[in-house]
Amino acid sequence: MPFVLEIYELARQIASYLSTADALALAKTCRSTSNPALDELWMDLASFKPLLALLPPAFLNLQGEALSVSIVCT
Amino acid sequence: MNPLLSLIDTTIQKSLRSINTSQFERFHTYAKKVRSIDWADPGYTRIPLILEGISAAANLRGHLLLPKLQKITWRSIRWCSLINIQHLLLSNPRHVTLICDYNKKFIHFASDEEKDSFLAIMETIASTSNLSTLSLEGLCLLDGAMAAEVLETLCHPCSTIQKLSIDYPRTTFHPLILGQMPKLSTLEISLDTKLKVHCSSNHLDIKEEKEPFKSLSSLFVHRSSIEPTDYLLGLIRSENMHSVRILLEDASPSGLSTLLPHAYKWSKLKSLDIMQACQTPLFWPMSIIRPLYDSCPVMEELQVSGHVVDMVDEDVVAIARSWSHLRVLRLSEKARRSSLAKYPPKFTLYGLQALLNGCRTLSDLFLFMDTSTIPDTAGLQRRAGSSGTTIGISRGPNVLGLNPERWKAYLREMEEQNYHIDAAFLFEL
Repeated sequence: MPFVLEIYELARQIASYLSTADALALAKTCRSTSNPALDELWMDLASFKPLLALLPPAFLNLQGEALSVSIVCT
Repeated sequence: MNPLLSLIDTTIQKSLRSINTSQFERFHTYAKKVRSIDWADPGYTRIPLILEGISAAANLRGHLLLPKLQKITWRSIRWCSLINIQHLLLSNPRHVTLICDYNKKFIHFASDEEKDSFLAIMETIASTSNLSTLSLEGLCLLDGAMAAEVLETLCHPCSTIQKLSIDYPRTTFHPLILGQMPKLSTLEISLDTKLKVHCSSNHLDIKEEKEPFKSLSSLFVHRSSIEPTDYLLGLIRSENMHSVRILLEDASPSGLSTLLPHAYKWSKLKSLDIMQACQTPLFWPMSIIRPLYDSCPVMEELQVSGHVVDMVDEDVVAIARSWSHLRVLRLSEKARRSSLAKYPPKFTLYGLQALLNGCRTLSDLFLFMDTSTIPDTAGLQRRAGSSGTTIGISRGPNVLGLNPERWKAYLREMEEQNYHIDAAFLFEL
């Protein structure tokens, strides 16, 4: 891997120009690019849903159920 | 409540209580990366309840829900999710945008409890120690008394807010409430055209003693009428005003002559933009703008739209002499054709050349002019640099006697001097 990508600030700057899909691919590439890419991906959220998806699987099922019920209710 | 929903609520709460440390740490690892959240309230879902539970779990472990949150944008606020805003405000954000309007309908609070919750949110926002930008949209959709209470809560003498965007409620206008915010440097305000100015003796006392708007440097008034705008401008005691933008919906011909003289007192003014919507021909005598030459010596942008001005060549010579740093000059833009027919332009291409020679940084120019005479370009100084200057020229209504061939030759000569002229009217000849 190029040495330049081991510099956090540079990797972060590069990630800031990428689409969500590309930043995700960068996050999966290697350890040193993972953090800057994830920081960029999580910096601005347009919804709470990504945060809710971090909850335990059992809770996720419940949450899915709760959400589907709420859609019926609104 | 629906028994099924009640069962789900109970199950969610139980599930959140049982979340273990490693599960929470996974959540927290990503939650602490979040700097900004933009969320449209989806309505009566279980999400507010889930977030409340996670927030409680975070607090138990000595954390905040989103500890490094700097910016919150919350759309279509519903009472059921107000509690979540409270949790997020604990992160001490710098920028908060609340968009209260839901389907552009008036907001009604079903109970005193809902009303109190809303005011509690406003109090929490007002006491957020880092807050520098606050945008409140839809305030005019609250009832008058409630809106006034919200304003009084938010705009207090200890406020840290530097930039405030607000649509002023449809109540009586007393902007001194806003003027007492000590750090307010940028104000974007939308005023209802039917607003009536309220000027009690109490407010006059504040005006004299507290120096309202003393830190203000940038003002943008939109959807406004003349009376409240005139009152607001008259209150500003700041010596640092450098940008003023006003969009008037009031078509009264006295608009500019009432508002522009306020600018005479702002010696650091760099940008002045007044746009007036008008249905009838509006004429603006240059005598109103001439005092600006001396009183605002650092002017860089002057834009007045919707009116015809009686600018003559001597005026541009004076502008070129007074405002050597001028970058933008747009006069009479969006003026009605009937206005131009009634007040034909007197400014000529000779004046244009004087302006270009005097204002070497001019990069954006829009003027109506008398294009019947074309000068020699020999006296024009060449513009340096590769990009040159783009100049938009709109002709007066009378094009009789124009010589297209002479014009084309003139434009070629200007190109050689590195001036790019957009004279679309030539295609009509």
